[in-house]
Amino acid sequence: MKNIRFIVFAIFSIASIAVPLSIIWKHEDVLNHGTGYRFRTAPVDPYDAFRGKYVALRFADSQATLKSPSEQRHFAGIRIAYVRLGVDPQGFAIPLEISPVPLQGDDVVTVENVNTGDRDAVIGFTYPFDRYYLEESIAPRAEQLYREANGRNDNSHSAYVLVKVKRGVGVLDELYIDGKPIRTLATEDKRRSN
Amino acid sequence: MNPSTFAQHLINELPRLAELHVIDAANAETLRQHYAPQIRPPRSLSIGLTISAILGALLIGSGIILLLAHNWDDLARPVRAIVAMLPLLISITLAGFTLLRRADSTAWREGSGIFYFLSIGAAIALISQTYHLYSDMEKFLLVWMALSLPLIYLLRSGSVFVGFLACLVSYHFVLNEVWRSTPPSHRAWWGIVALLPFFAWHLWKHRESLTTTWISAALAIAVTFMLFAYVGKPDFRPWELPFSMTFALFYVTSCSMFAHQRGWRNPLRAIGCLGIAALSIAFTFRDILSPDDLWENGRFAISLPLAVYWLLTAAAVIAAVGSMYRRHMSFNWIAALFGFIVLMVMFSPNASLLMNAYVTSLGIFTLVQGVKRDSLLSMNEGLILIVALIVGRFFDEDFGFVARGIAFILAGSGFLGMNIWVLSSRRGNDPSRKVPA
Repeated sequence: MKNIRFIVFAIFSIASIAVPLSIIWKHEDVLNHGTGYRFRTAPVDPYDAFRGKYVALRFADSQATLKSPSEQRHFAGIRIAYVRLGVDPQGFAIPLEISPVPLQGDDVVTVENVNTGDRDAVIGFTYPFDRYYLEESIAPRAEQLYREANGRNDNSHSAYVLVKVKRGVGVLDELYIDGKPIRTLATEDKRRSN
Repeated sequence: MNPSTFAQHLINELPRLAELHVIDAANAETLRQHYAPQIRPPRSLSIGLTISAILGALLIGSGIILLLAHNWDDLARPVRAIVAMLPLLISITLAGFTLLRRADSTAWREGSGIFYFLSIGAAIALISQTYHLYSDMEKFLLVWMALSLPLIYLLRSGSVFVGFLACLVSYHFVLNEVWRSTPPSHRAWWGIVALLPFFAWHLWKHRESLTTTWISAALAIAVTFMLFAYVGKPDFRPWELPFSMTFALFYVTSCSMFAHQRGWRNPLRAIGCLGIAALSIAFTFRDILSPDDLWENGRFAISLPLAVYWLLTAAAVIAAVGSMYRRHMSFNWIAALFGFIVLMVMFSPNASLLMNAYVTSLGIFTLVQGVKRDSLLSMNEGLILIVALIVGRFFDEDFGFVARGIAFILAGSGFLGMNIWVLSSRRGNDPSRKVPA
């Protein structure tokens, strides 16, 4: 009885280790071998911008246009969809097409909260990589920098995230402000103030 | 008397028996060698060790995470991910050792179990933060629960049982968040079903143990909270029915299974009685219970999941009451019928009036039962119920100050007079007896 219990425990322990390891492997694979896309961020509600240990992200280009309004019926009741990404002349990712069924290719990312909205041929959605986690002591300054960068009225798009995409999976690599990683900026700022 | 206590008592008696020549020295030694292995540490020592083990495991786990957090940003991402696995690997090693070498020790099983449980959650959370993973609390809790459930049975751990319940209740609330326009979700109840064999086994084999006490409390509190998640949802009405039958079930289960336990050792009774009292008083107010709750557009409006839940709990109440009748056990049958009374009363336009009559009957019956059994607790329970009803009526109806003042004085005098009478009669029967509060 004791041996049977231990064998069951061993199987269960392997599963306990396998689940987090599979998450690590999958995301490291995307980060190391996926295609990088820069996504413009959008201004955020100051209350929502920072919740504890992460920065809540919003994206400027989170809508896709359908070929015809009649295609909208395919998205009724759908919560998850698949977006093929392209790159605009400024080098930022833009959604080229959206589909309720999986699309093939390494330029496809899965999106959520699909909604048909008020305009017939436009589908809105949210990207799943909507949080940027960072260490608590630099988080308040990071939040302020992020909000300032998004609040600027010029078209510099100084705030953007780099996301690696592969086989429908998008993994957030870094959040940049004025070309520098936000962690670096916030840490430098913290050292200056100390 | 448990075997350990008997063995200790017998061994303590052996020298005296040998001295009185009841048995000779050789027989005394043979008996001592036979019974000595049955002696276990006193319960208070076991409980202390178990609690220390759980607290120690929690503190060590938290400390490891804090140490890692201090230098977290300086580590490369893959290193962070692997380091996040360290507490999990340590906890697996400890749990394996426990199963192989310390399977009989409650302290080891509980300590390694809770450490393993927390390590699973910490590993998934830390890895999610490392890769800025999606804000999907539902998936996170589901994975944590799925990986924790086997631990409950493998390590026979009550603390993992309680941790699992905490995750389950959170999962249920996430699925039924107020802002969601989807129909109510009932998936989380399968988690309760998965825990029932463990609970049933403890009721059968270890009914008197402390572990059974606190897993009973945890289960009762979890079920109550899970029902709260439905309040206000349009597809789960009327909410009064599942709540009333659930509290009745807690009460009859406590009478049937834990009749000899009192106070904090019988949490089902406390939660059941409190729930019945609070709900019954609330239902005495006008417009709380109404036939309109049962009908919608001329059709019977009870949702199917609610009806199924009510029928299952009603069947359990009937089974428990039947069992107590067969064993000639005494219990408060008016409290046991609470769930059925609420359903019947809801069909009447005078629902609040009927509930007033029910609460009055319940209070008087409880008081009389307390007097018959000489139980101060039951007497006070009955009196509190009657006083609460009176106070409720005074906030509900338009009575003058004089009438209210007189009624409060009478109620307070009744309380004091009853307690003084009982205490005096007990002192009169046995002057040396220490009167319980």
